[in-house]
Amino acid sequence: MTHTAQHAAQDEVTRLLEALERGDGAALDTLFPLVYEELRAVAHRQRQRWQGDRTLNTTALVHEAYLKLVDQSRASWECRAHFLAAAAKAMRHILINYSRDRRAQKRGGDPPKLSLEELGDRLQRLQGEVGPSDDNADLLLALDAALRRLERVNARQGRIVECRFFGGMTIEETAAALGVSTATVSRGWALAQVRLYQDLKDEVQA
Amino acid sequence: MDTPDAGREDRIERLFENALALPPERRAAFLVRACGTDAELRTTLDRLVSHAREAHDFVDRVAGPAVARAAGTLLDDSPASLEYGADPFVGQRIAHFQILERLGGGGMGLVYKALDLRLDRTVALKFLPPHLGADEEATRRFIHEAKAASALDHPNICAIHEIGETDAGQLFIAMAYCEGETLKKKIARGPLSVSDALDYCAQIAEGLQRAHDAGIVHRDVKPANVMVTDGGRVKIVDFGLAKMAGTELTREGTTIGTVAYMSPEQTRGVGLDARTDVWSLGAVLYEMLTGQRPFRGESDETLIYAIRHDEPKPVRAFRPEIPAGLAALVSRCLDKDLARRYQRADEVLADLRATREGRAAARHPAASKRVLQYGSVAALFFLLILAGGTLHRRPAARVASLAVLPATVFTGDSAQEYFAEGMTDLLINDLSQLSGLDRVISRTSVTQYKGTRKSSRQIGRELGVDALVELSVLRAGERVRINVSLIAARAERVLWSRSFERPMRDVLTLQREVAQAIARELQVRLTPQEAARLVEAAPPVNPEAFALYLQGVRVDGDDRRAIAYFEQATEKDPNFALAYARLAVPHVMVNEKAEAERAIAKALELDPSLSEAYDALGLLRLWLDWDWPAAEAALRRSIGLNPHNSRAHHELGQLVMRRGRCDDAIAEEQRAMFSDPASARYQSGIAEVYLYCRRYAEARREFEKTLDLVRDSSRVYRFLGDSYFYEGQYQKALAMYERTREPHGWIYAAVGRNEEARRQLDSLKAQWTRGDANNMTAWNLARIYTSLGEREQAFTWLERTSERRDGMSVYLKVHPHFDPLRGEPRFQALLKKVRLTD
Repeated sequence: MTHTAQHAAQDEVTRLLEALERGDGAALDTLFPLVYEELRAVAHRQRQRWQGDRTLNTTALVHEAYLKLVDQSRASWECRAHFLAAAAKAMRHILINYSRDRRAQKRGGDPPKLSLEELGDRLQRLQGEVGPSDDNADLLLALDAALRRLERVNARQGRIVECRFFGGMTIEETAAALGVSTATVSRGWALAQVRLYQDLKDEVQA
Repeated sequence: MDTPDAGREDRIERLFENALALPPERRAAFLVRACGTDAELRTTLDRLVSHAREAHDFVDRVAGPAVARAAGTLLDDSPASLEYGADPFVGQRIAHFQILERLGGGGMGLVYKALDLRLDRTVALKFLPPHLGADEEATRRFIHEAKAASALDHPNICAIHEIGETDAGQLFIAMAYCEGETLKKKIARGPLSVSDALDYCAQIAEGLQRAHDAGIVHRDVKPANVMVTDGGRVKIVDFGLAKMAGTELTREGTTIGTVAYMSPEQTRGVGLDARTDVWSLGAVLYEMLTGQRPFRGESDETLIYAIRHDEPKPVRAFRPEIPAGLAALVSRCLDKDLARRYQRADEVLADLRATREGRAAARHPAASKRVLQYGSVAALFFLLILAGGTLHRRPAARVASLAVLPATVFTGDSAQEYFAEGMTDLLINDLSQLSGLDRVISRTSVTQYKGTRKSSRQIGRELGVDALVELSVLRAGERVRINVSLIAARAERVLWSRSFERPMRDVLTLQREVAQAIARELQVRLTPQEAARLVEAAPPVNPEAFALYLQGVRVDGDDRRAIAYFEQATEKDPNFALAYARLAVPHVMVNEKAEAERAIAKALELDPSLSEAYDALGLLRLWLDWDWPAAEAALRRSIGLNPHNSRAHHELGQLVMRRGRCDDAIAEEQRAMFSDPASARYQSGIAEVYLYCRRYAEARREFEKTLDLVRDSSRVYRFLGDSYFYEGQYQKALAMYERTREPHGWIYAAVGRNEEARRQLDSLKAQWTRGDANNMTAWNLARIYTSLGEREQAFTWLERTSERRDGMSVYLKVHPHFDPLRGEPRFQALLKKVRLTD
């Protein structure tokens, strides 16, 4: 990105974040593709940097996109939180789309079904830092499906999980983005984790 | 919330949280009680609670890593959709550098951020632009730059690591990657604060002096070439035009560099030395202070004319609050006459320091012999200026009371701010331990003077002290420096002033050193123990742990966060006694007895004479053990170690009041107030003592004063209501109660409005059933039932209060509300349970 282009993008993003802060929900629709593109650009740059490393810190990705797209001297703490939340959503889309592509490539588009044993196996394997990445794609898709079900039960808990999981956001950042207290986020996060787990467990047992 | 049945969802969240906060064996019973007849709710919660542990493991060990892993796989595969607009260098490997991203490009070349694969560090790579590759002079200049600057090693100079060449024959320099913001960017937002400008200027001067000592002149000092890191450290970058003294690289007549900051001699392209950098430094300082460049012109020609012939507009014409000494310093940097200009960067530095410490610049005696006061900026440094720079030492035997004013910092960044706050606290703490002083003002009462414009005489009068201690704190990397001035308040005279410096890890020792020096200066009588403690070196503390500790102190009252900070502090530094002591207090507040015991034991093991540890022990014995004698002994021990510890006096006052010893209680609360007159907590404390000692008129007088100090007055109005209520002045009580948001149903019972009393009963009971009870719910129910004359119910709820270990039970012995119940055996049983029978 040239300097001028970066400045123009920064102005646009800052304006959108300010609109979000005023409660203009439509701004998110315009913001989202910008953040999405930047995240992919960051991911691309990260690839140069992290050759061979099989895990990637999503927090670092999201924050790098933030540094690139937002003029820090103008952004409030709330602005930053709104940005991170949008980036978390974008990150979720990127990762889920990609996992879906992968699975489609490898063995057609069946929805993943994990047995409880498989889930357990996966836990073992993942802890051992091995395991084919297809499994990981399945696990991620299963998580996303569970998260979508959670969103229907409790939208706020869904957003909390999205921020924490995909944006690596802290409790304070999440609270600022959602406009609720940190106590509310802590409570929601504690409960949402258990619900996600139960949901996945119920799924594989069904 | 846009979900079905938001109320129920919120309720599930709360109940889940409350259940998990209980020990496992008590959760089931809690849920039975809280869910009442709602069986479905109970099943849901039972199941959630039973899975909590597995679920958190699952998230930490499976789900979280799965997300990170997916992101990693994404990069391994790098689908075409991820490819992004290419830069010829980004992503390339050049020599042993992996190019990460473009940082920018200037006239002298493109700059990239890169990873040095051999040494595993991030660097900035600067390439000579390809079109200049053919230019022999540019090439020579470039090589020269590297050689000259790589010899420089100074914290304020951005280090040059090496010079290299690509396979294609392109030259590059690898230098330290300095993260931060250029001064140019900072100034673009407006003039800097005087203290920031002074601080940055001093750091630039230090870096320049180092270069000058090595025979290198920068020749292009300008805001764009000065980076400021997040920690406030200045790095001079781009010695791109530096030349070895005695070697002339520039062809005669070629002007390079930004004209606006050039010295007159530089515009003529003649023999340049260190003094040209001094000029540019002056121009940068001018711009930091005013936001304007000293010379302006429509074109390079008119600009050059202005530099050679015009006088810049005085800085005080922009900002009258700029000290005269500083204005003179700027003028002397920008003196067109080389002989009258500062000859060396370190001369500028010396005068900057003099200005900072409130003395006049060395060569400008006209500015001294005056008492000057400055407003918002660094007021305390400049509060008093004495003639000639030498301070008279006077016997200071009359000083028996002190206030330490909030420390100021040189830079405006918040990390330094809270560090300075922490330093102020620590020094107050050390000084409070001196029994030879009559009065040392505590923290809450001095914070109001942060950045004050008031005179020392006025501050002294308001706080009732003879002398003020002013601090300025500078933390630079691993070192801390504190400048301390002791000021006679009435005479507005500096008695003594000194700088102390130590490595960060010895910060506690540094504070003792300062306290000891002040004690010596004031000729305070020290007990042998005090003297021994002051000269003994404090154990070193890990700087990261110390930073976490300070953050913990700042979130006082937010128990969970405080615990997290103090815990991390003790993890970073397992020998940090003070952090253990402070960790114990929030543990007590959230009813975590075992953790509190452990933290206190550890603190005392590390430092048996730590008064904070005894404060925590006192609170623990009181709130969690109801062991009154042990609690009292611990608080008295704390006061023995630290006679001016207002918190301990206050807690002790409350404690003895609850045991029914009114005179002692009043004396202790007065002692707390004496050290901390502006504290709402202590003001309310003494008022409560009067209330429970049934001296209602005095209680009201003190609560009225409390109203001025608190932001939320609801609680104070409730107390005022109580003070009328127990005198039988029900109409006045009602008027007060109606200004609070807290339950007060007993007044309705007293005036015969029983329906309203019952409504409050119902809503409190609903709160209880929902599991939303706070530590006042059962207590308030008991109060209303007592006033309605329903003794059976009143006892039931009082018993629940003590079962839940709600804090209010400790008031049972003295609370006027329960006088009607006192004669009954059930009441005696309650008192016995709280261990309040003698």
